[in-house]
Amino acid sequence: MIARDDIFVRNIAFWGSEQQDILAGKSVFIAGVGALGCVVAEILVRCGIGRVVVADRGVIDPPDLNRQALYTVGDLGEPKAYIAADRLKALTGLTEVVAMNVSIGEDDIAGALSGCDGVADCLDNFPSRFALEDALPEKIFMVTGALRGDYGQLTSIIPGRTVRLRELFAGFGKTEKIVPVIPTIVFAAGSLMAQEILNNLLCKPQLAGRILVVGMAGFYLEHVPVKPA
Amino acid sequence: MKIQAKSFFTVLSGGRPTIKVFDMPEGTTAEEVIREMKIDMSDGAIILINGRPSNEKSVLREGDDFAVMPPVSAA
Repeated sequence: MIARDDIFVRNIAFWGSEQQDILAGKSVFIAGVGALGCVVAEILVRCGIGRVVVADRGVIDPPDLNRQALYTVGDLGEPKAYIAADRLKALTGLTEVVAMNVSIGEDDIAGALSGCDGVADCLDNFPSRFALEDALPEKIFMVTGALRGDYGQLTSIIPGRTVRLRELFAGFGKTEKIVPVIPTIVFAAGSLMAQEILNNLLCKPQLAGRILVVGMAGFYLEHVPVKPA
Repeated sequence: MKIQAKSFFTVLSGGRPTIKVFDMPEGTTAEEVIREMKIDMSDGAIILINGRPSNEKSVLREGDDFAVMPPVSAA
């Protein structure tokens, strides 16, 4: 087995052994392993997070292959949670990866959430996002990301402290059949989400009370302050 | 009354947010400002008044900071 410090030598050179050890003791629940979920999960594993739970009941379809980084054409028809888990386990061999082939909003995820330090909301519809938020235990943060075209919005949800998704997305109900999304925003927003998860795990959230707006074509980034309603 | 309105819908097409100041009558709602800004929010929008989530029927006051953001849902 390859030594942990060999794999993470460049992480440790930047943030030190102490932070690497902290991350090795953390667990993150990734709700949805589609576009954002694949990127967030891969980055967290490469950062050396100790445990990730990947939850998704979908199967891999052809339209996923433009942006869902853990899947290939050979995976079509396979369950996302299991394929993602296999790929993630193989990256470093150091992160415990738990696959949950569940539908958030329909299946019970409370037990899985309570064993985690934080949650990545990488879901693609509002009913599931609201159900995830409702199931969020007190004191567990959630970083949420949502996209359209080459545009993205991210924020940290901290129960009792920040705006709730139900307030922020109150005007959204219906889910369009095909929402336009291109790969560049997926990788950029997924990377920013992963960074904000690290920030939260280290108790230094940057997006609690702020929405980060990202527009790829114009290289646009802005923080928009947001308060509970 | 003067309302400063910022739209992020233009970021969707590679641009910067649009900021305009409107002189509107007392009792103006968010929906009326959105109409003035010629924003199509048939797919929904995030509406913030002074940073707080609001809706189309919310009534604006002099000096309010109004922002509208496009619908997002994909991942």
